[in-house]
Amino acid sequence: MTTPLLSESVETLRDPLPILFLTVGHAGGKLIAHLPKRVPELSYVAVDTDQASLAALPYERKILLGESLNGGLGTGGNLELAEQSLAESEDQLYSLFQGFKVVLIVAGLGGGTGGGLGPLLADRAREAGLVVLSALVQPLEAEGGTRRNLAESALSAYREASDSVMLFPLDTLKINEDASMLLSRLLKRCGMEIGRALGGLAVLLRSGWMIPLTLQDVVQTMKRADGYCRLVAVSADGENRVASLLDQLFTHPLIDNGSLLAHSGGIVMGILCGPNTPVAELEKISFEIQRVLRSDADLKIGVAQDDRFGQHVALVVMVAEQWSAKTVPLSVVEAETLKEKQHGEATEGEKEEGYKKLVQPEIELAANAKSKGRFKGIAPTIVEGADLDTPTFIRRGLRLSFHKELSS
Amino acid sequence: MAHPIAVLEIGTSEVRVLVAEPREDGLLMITGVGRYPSSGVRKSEVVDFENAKICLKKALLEAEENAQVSIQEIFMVISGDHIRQANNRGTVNVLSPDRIITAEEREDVMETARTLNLPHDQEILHSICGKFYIDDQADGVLNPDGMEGSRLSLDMLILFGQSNRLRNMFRLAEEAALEVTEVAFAGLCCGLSVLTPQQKEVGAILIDLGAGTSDYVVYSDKVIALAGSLGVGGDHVTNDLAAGLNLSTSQAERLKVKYGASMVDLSSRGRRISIPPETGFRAKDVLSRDVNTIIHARMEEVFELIKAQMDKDVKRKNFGAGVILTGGGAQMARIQDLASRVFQMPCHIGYPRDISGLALPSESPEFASTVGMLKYGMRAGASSAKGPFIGNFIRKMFGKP
Repeated sequence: MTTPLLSESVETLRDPLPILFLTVGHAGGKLIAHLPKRVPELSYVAVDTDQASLAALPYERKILLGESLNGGLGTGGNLELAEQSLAESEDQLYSLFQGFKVVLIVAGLGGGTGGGLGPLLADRAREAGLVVLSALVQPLEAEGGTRRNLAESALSAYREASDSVMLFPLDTLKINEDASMLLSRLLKRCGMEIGRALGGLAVLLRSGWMIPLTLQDVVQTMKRADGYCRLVAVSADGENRVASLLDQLFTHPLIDNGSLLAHSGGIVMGILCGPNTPVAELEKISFEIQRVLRSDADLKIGVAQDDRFGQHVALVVMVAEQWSAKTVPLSVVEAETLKEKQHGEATEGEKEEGYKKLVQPEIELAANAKSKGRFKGIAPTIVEGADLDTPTFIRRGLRLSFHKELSS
Repeated sequence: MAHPIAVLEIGTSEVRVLVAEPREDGLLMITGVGRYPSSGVRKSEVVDFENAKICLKKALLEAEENAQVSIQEIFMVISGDHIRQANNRGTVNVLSPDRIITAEEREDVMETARTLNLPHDQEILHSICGKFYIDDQADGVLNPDGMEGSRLSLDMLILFGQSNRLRNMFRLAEEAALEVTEVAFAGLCCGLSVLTPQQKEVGAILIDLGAGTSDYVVYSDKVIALAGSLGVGGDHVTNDLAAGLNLSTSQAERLKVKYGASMVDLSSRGRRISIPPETGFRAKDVLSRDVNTIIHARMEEVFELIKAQMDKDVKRKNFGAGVILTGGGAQMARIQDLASRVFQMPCHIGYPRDISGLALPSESPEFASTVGMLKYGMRAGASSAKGPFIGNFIRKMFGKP
């Protein structure tokens, strides 16, 4: 049996990290409108340029921007107007971030307020010393080229202004085999997934850890992924809870049926469970997930326990989508640090040698398998020094699973 | 009725011949298709002349029988990673007293921009007009006629390739008693075949995933901003699978076509695939995850290399139409998802448009380049029966009048 990750029973947690949920624009506000009821201990503020849209939201604090410029009618996708609206309310915004350490911005990317004003707010929050995590909803592909171009620009702006960007593409949440799926259902589903994931993340970050996972762990891992990540939360209870949890994760649409997890270079995973959860179950979750990851993936795991979770186990997983640079195995970094301490800084050649030693056995193993095959003896394809006729998985040092030969 | 046009592509996996008749409404009706598995071609280049010749003749014969025509002249699609691009800017002074730019100045600047010093073993295949710039204006225009200025510049995208490798292709056609009327780069042909004018206008990245090469053309800011060919294709995927899983090439090819996907799907993580035995290779079970990990690594690299080239060479990156994939590789499971992930934009499969007649070419992205060449041929106002249109390139290569 599965239950929602968060329930109304979740109350004040130990050593809380002050987190502000800031919704920007119509989409942002509407998508997580159910969250204050479920996780009431967090702070919520909605910012919009559209008075009517703002009035319909359930948040305790709401800020209408740019009323004198647009009469409270929104920006209509006009980024300049969004910017002017912000400039008009600087004083109001300054006090907004006081007392918080983290701001979780929730916005849709296709509009003027969420796409134009949101990154500016993220920038202000950073200036105020907060860690900025942005949860952004990408519009449907069917919404057209102009909106998509707007969304792309907005995304770039968010990347600049945020410590980590979490993407929720609406298209991934469509149920392909269900042609009758209503738009309202899709948006509701999106809201539920975002709420579950962000609420889960917030609860985890504020929990008492048995195996620690800090906010900086999250931020640093995601930074190495160039800021893009997908965030999912799943939960289960009952006898087969571990299997159910893993099945939910591995078939989750937001991580593309687990594909993104399998190909990702950086993963942050938080397990939240009750005090009676056996170590064997936690190990099983961890090992099963590690088994499907890339051999060079940077995985950070934390475990938090909370009495109120009883028989439930929940998983919050952040999956990095794109790496800006090659992952350097930790052991090389440690070896370099040690060497630096003992003998001064390692030379570039020595670093390279250290890295080669680590990946060499796998490369040699695969290289023995006549890797160039049919391209032997013909002009090689060389790009930036790499011989592309040699299999990519060998050059990248990817590990393959064991495969068993059968007798014919 | 208009004369039929015939197109030849000597691909790495297959030799294809298409015959079509231009219809009165401007569309093409496919009347003949000839296909034969390639032998002696690697990375879109001839490595075994005799074998390649046999394959060409077989495909030609099939197309002739199919279309009930005798083919003597042919339009040829070419590719290969020797095909390179250069951006050349030409500038001329506007000499008229009123400084109004006329068609004459436009022609002059085109000629200047087209002039590129290449090594003696290279030949220009295409010169494609980009934007015109008047004086020091940062924003270019597509047509400067009637505008005022003292200096007119033009960015020209020039595609060139190695003469001897191109000649091998022509010699092959000659051996089959064919005269090559005109040649065009496969990537450009695919653009003609599958993209709508709207897609070109809002910007698109077109990638033709062939067996030997991956050709790409990037439309941005209403012009072709980048075109090229990467010497990696579906053959490399097959080779990677054979090397990684210790299979024969044919076992690996079947595995790729039947079970391969560009993304690892964890919902089927423990799934095993049984490979039947083959001479010299035993039967075995392989994990679906291993197969897809190998394919993913290769295809991801292909997309990443094209993206890196694009990031380097394309100034204005507006791609409202996203990524469009053609070629046999576009039929691989989940290739769209991978491209979408690497380029961070939507991806579609491109099918040849505006054709009728035999169904196969319009139903398969594999035919994008050959159908595009048919359109190129039709646009050139040529027919393969009489009065061939001899392009600059052919004239230079064979010294025709």
